[in-house]
Formats: sequence, structure tokens, C-alpha cells
Amino acid sequence: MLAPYAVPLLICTAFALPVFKNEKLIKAIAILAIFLSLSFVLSSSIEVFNSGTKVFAVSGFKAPFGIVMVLDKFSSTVASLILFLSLMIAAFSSKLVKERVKEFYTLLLLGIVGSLGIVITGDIFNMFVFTEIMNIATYALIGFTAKKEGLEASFKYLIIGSVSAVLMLLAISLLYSHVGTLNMADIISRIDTNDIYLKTIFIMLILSFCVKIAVFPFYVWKPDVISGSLEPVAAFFIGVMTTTTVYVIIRIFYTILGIYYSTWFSIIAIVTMIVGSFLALLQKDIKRILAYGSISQLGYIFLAFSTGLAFQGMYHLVNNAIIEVLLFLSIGTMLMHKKMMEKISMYAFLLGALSLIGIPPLSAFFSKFFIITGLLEKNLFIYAIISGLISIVTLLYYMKIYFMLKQGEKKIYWPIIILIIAVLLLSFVPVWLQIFKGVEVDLLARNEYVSEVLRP
Amino acid sequence: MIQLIAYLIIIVLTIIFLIKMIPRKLKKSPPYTCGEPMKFEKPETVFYRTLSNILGLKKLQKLSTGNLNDYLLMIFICFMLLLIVLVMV
Repeated sequence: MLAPYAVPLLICTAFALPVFKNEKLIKAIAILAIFLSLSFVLSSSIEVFNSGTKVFAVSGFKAPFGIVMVLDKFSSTVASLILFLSLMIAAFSSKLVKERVKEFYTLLLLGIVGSLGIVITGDIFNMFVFTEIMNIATYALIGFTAKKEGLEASFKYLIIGSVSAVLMLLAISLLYSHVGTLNMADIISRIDTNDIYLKTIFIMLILSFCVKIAVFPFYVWKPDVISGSLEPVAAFFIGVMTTTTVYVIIRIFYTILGIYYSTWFSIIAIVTMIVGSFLALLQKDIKRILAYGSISQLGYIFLAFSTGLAFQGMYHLVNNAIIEVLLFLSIGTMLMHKKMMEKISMYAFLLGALSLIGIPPLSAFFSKFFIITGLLEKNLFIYAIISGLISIVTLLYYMKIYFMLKQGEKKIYWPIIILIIAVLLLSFVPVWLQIFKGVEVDLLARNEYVSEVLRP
Repeated sequence: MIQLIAYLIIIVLTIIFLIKMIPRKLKKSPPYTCGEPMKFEKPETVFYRTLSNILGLKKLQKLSTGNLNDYLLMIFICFMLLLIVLVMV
């Protein structure tokens, strides 16, 4: 279980050696390392789906005394997703990044190590450490171009990320002083959810993660950061980092606290959805429109999870991550070809946009459809109506981007083709329903999680 | 049946007219209002500007000032407010 993040970690450390000078070799090794890591995670995921949760005690010390790595259906699905997206981003970056290649791939691999660590760890303090590893890599990646906008974006994210990290660390310290453990399964067995002090700590922890992913009302900085970074970095930020942070919030809500319904977080989700989509209409820069669009889509994901629609939320989380990466990489081709876009990328962009708008039979139509029907089944009519109406606003801001695009040179990049195939494959609903319903069952089974991790 | 054919012809002719005439008219001769030449704008630009005016989106946009101090202040205030509200309910 250590292999998936040991491989990228070893490779990014090895890049410090003077032996690695050939840029093509560095690119190939980095892509191979992510591919190997993905293969390990996929093979472990198959085992998890067939025979249940896997627990690995680091250094042989079992939980709650030692650090454990836990791979259940939820974490294995998210780990596979982030590695798949990272592979596409790394492959695409090999065409775009021409300077300081070694530094770029070292940082990208470090970011992947951090995000994988967050997903696999069973310890809340380790989760914080891996969050910081991921963030430090991202701060540098955002300012990678060393242009004025990039550096400003990086500095803004550094300050806001640090504020969020301080709040997170404070919450974790208070939690440890109150509960006396940092192992998540052990916390579940010791906490009383009616304790007001613990409630305050967990709300503080969740809000600090909300600052990191720019949920309303903490969204203001995100468009600045996205518009200042390179397209593959923006894709990494929205596809990988956001997915990982959403994973953490859901893990705290569902697994640790056992809260499946939260009216207040549903309201925050609805407002995030509305504000993100309406502000996207107002923007003139493509990347800013996409950034606000991603904030709006986060609203859908949070709305699903905060109303107890776990498999619907999971389906939309996967759809959204893949499509957002596809959109950013398609836009990235414009950067390579003097603001011109080749035909396949243009179609890829259209496919992604139409899917996120919710046009049948594309993948995001089904996830949105399941969310809206789920809301109607729970008699949450107002949420359902707003979700439906926001899809129309989504159509308007993606149309705006389409008007800005220009068609140019003919060059095809294989990561974009693979992402198109992924979006089309996600439309085969029955297969995915089976997987995501399995994830939902696993997420709701708190007692099984505790017994698996704390098994003597 | 004849009515249906007539409607179809009208629809087809309207579409052809729209495709052929409107872009040419916009490109070759800029529209005039009270004898004053208007600045040419793409229809989509006008549409999005009107939409933003109707919905009053510019007030919301003002929150994204680009200034880090404002962002930090907003995040801190919202964090404290939400923390208090969520703990109280």
C-alpha cells in the first residue's frame, strides 16, 4: 500500500541528483512513475472492491498507536481518479513546459505524493502534513512561469493557504487535547457528537478546508489564482487538489461525525452554486470563467453530499474532476498555438462544456439528473429547482467561452483524446452506478471502518 | 398539408434570411441611431452586458477586488461568522 506514493516520492527525490539532465528522460520517467503509481492503486482498488477495506500499519505499529494507511472503496476511487488526472496533466505538460522541466516535474510529483497521502492516511495529523506537502508544491507550481501574474497568484494562494493551515492545525491540536488521539477510527469510537466543544472544533476544521477549496463565502481569491497559473497547473489545482480536499470534508462529515444531512451546508452549497455561476457570466477571461464555473460545480457536489445523496455526489465529483481537467487542457492548447485552438481540442472543450451543462446523454447530465431526482425524492423542491435553473446559467457562460475560441493549427494531443474517451465512458451509467453505490455503502458503514482499522 | 408545407417554406426562408442578411448588414453598414453612428459590438457582447446589468452582477463582482488585504479580511470575518452561526444552531 505504500507503493503508490513511494514511487513518485522516490522519483522526485532522485531528480535532485545531477545525473538527470536530459529533459526528455525526466519527462518520460515522471510520466512512468505516475503510471506505475496508478497501476498499483488500480490493482489495490480491485482487491478492495472484491474483498473489503485494506489496512496497512506503517513500521508495524498497529492503530491507534501507530500510523495506518487505510484503503476503502471511497479512498481507492478518489486515489485512482487523482492519479489518472495527474497522468493526463503530466503528459500534456510535456508539450507545454519547455523551461525548468526538472523543477516542474519534481513539484508535480510532490503534489501528487501529498494528495495521495491525504486520501490513503487513516490519521488526521498525517492528513494535515500531506495537505501541506501538496500545498507547498502547488504554491511553487502556480508561480512557475515567474511572470507577474503567476507570482502574484502564487503569493495570494500562499497567504490564504497558510491562514487555512493555521486554522486547521489549531483545530487538530484542540481535537488532540480533547480526545487524546489522532487516529480517525479511534476518534470515531471516542467522540460524543453532542459535545459543543467538539462540534466547534470540527466546524473549525471543516471551514478551514472550505477556505482551501473556495466554497462561498471564501471563493474570492480562486479566480485570481487560476487566471495567473499555467493551464496544466490550473487543471491540477481544480482537478486533483479540489477533489482531494472535497474527499477530506466528506470523510470528516460521513465517517468521523456520521452526519449525512446538514441544512446549513446545503444552504452554503446552494449559494456557492448561484454566486459561482452568475459571476462566471460577468468575466472576460476564459480561465476566470472556468474558475467561477468550477466554484459553481462544487456547489452541486456539496449539495448532494450535504443532503445525504452520497453516490450522486460521488458520481458528480468524478465527472466534474475529469471534465474540468479536459476543459483546462483544451484551453491549454490555445497557449501553445498563439491563442488558436486545433479542431479536436475545440470539440473536446465543447464535449466537456455540454456535459457540465447537463445535455443528455453525456455523463454530467446523469449525475445532475440523479442529484435533482434525489432532491425531489427527499421533498427538497427548492434545492431541486435552483439546481435545474443554474444549469441554464451554466449554458450561458460556456457559450460565452465558445464565442471567444478561435480555431487554428492541427495538432492532436493524446491526453485530450483519452479524457474525451473518459467522459464518454462515464456516460455508461449502470457500470458507474454499481461502483458509486458500493462507495456509498462503504461511506455509511462507520462501524465497519472502525472495526477494520482497530482490529487487533 | 398545404398549410404545413407553407409553414415549412416560411421557416426555411426565415432561417436563410437570418443567416445571409444579418451578418452582412452588421459588417458592412454600422447601425445608426438619430443620425449618430453607433460603435459596432458583437451581439453576444451586448447580450452578456445587458444580462449582467439586469441581474446587477457588478455589485457582486466588486467583492473580488484583487487586493489580498480585502480577501483576508473577508475570509476572516466570514469564517468567524459561520463558525458562530454553525455552532449556535
